[in-house]
Amino acid sequence: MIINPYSFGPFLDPDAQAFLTAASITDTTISGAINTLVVQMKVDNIWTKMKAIYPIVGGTDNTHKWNLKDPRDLNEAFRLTFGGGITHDANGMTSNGVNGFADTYLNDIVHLANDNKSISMYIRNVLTVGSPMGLIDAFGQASNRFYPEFSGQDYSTLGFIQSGRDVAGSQIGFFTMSKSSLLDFKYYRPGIAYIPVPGVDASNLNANYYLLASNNEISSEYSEANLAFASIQEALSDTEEANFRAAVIAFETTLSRNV
Amino acid sequence: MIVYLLTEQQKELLIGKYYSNNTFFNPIQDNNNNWIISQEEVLNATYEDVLWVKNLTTIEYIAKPPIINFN
Repeated sequence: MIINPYSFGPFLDPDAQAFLTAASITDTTISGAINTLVVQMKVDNIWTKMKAIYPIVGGTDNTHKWNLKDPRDLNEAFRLTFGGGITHDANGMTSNGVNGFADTYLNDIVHLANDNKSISMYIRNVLTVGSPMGLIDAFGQASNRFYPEFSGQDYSTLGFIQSGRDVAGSQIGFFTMSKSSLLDFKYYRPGIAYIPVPGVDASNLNANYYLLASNNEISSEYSEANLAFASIQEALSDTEEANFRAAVIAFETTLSRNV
Repeated sequence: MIVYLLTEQQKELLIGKYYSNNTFFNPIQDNNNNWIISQEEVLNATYEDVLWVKNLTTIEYIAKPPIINFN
């Protein structure tokens, strides 16, 4: 069931209200979109699976930093801090491709299980180099990051030794990688059915997930990504991923920044 | 792309230092191992103790190669 994104009463969901209060957002379109997203995720029983949700709304670093799931101004609440060159506007946040990144403080080994994790992003621009989200070890092996294209290959890998495959589907929109098995992970790209990716399992890394870049434990690999949404959560089933995708696309459409 | 060149000592001064409310400087090394910061950091630096970055020398940015395992 899809909630009408334009229908919300004077009373917002308490979790939506907490986020809007923390971010000092009063815009009615954004408030409605956030409320609808939260309510929809609760209807679809995916809210409780979420560790961190970054709606990236409001157009400034002060509004983009908040985790919808836990909008406290604390590292332990996975509130973002920003480093380097980032531009913030109504379309989300964009790195300069040199050194811009956001630290989620969500640690792979501390906060996620090896065979029960997933990451998602809504990206608005095509990248031919650079990683818009995740982390990888210093040797380019154990990978938990999106890397949508490099030299015609897609190197996005979750919880395995990094591998490449032909680029398939659209380069922009909503992406998810979900791992609930030691044998493979499911990769959902815009415009195609999911891709099962087999590989060599890799232990979780003792490092934080980054947005706009991937953390490689000793440094970072940056991108020119324009992100309008990102999240980190437990593994999602096919139905849960489809519902989550629909909710996020409706959210972006309400904010007139869907691609 | 133009970036701003730092000495080793200047890099140490900027590590962990905020240039706006929520964003800190992030000195990185380019492919020639020069320490650099970006145009955005210099343009948006407003705190008095870091205004010296506006006088830094500019150089052309050469990125390190991607971390891709081809095997």
